Amino acid sequence: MTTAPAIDLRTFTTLDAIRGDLLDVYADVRAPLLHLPNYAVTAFGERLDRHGAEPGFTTVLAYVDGHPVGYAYSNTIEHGDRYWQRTSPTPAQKYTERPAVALKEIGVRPAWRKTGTARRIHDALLATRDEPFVTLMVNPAAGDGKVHALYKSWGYEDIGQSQPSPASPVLTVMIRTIR
Amino acid sequence: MTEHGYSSNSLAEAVNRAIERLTGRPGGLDGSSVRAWKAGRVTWPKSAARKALEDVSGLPAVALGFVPRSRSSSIPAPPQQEDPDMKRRTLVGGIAAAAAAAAAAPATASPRRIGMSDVNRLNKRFAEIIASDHRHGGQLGIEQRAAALADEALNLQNAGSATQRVRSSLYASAAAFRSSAMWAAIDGRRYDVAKAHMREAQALAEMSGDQSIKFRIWSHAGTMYRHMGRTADALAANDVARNLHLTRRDPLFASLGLARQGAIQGAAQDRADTRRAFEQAQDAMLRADPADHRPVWMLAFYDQAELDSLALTGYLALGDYPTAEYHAHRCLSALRPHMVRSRAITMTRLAHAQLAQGDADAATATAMEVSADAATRHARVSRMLQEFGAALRATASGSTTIQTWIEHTATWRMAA
Repeated sequence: MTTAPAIDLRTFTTLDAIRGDLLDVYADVRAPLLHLPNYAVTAFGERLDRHGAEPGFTTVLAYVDGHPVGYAYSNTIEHGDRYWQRTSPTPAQKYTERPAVALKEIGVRPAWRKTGTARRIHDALLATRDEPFVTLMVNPAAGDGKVHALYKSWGYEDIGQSQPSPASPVLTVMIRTIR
Repeated sequence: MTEHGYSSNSLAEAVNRAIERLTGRPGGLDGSSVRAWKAGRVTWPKSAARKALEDVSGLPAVALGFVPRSRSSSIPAPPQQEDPDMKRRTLVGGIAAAAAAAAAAPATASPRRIGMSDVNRLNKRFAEIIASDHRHGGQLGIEQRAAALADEALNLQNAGSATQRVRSSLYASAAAFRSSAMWAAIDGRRYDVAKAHMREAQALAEMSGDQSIKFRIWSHAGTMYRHMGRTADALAANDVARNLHLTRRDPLFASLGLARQGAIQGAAQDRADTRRAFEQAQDAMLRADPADHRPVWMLAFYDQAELDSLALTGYLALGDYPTAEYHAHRCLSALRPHMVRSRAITMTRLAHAQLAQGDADAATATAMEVSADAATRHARVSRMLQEFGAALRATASGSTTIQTWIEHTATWRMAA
């Protein structure tokens, strides 16, 4: 690839118009894992339908020539939310006293990895939010720790651990300021 | 209230008598209950007291200044310029005056008598709604019609005198209608609305004393929490249904309780528990006497096909695709012909189970058997088919099957 890709970033706060695009790009990003129950497209679809109806739903899709190549989505979480309750140790009050953005998913198609696309999607999503902090969970073993290292390079710090569901590995909870 | 010259006690007595007319047992309210309403410590009285209060006053509870809990979507909010606190204090005071006056005056007109024929008429209209649900499912129209019918049953309670048996049947019918509204909302993924229907249905079911309707509501609640991804709550709600005495009397209810438990345990990734629950559900179904008397809703939907459908759901969630496929085939062969919606859902799940085993051609052929009508009009089916398309494109890239599927889905858009 000799020229920078012409990426079109689009932000949505409702699911209806882009549910199909989100499923398509998710399935491509997670193709090697789709046989695992927690990663099946149906399981993602169910989560997406729930999160799409929850507070602060925001999603950014990256398009190239009209085809989705990357995505991210988030919700708003508040003090007492299951997200914070499952985080151990209990997060400092400065993080939970006001609503925060929880980045639920972010992913880019294999051909578009290492092009800065994920970072551009991430920043476009946060640009629309007024909350002071953004938090995410990462599997510390993913990509031999490269994913965790990438988020550190974006300014995230570890604040605890969480196991969001019985089928899920223990994840590292990370946080950073939005601005 | 003192400015009217009546005590809170006289209103409490009038409401207690109205509760007795409604339920056959006098209410246990006293002056402090009335003061709690007036002071706003109780903003939404329990449903029996509320209905009795509406009876005594002739006004809906909202007009009396009470504020329903979590019903904001189904009850129009009172106009902004009116202060509910103010209304509650003055109107409850006013009712006390009216009630005291009514107690002093001789009865003027005798109300009409309500009988089982009225109950049966409502139940017949309900059966028509259920039939429509089996054809289409999850639609707002079904939910609203069922909820309206529940309100109609309650209005009938208040329209005249009736025996205890008729009263209980009316509450049971109202609870059944409400729980169908709840089911339609769950199917349509409108969970907040479903929860409001659930609370109303639970209160009505308690007043009816009917075990089978209590079972239905708690069993639905378990399914709702499963869809919401809250498996601990789902198991707890389903356990309430399973612990009702009815499940020891009738193995068919025990079977449904166990099958729904299996579906929940599948979602919770408890492999051994899932398998055990479905085995026990199958045993219980074989023990059930087909000749036993059962409510219409139970006869209408729970059978071998529904047990296999729940097993399909549970094993699909576990990622045990061959077992899921086995139950899908069994379900399809046993499914009664009028269960159009169930057939579409089962076909779609079978397609997923086949694709996950790597058989893209068979999976696509199965998915193409889903009718265009179900694929475009039933939200749950169309979402699952959207997921199927995404999984197919990601896992079978380069195969001609993808093109077949794209062309097939294009015909829906033209038909829609």
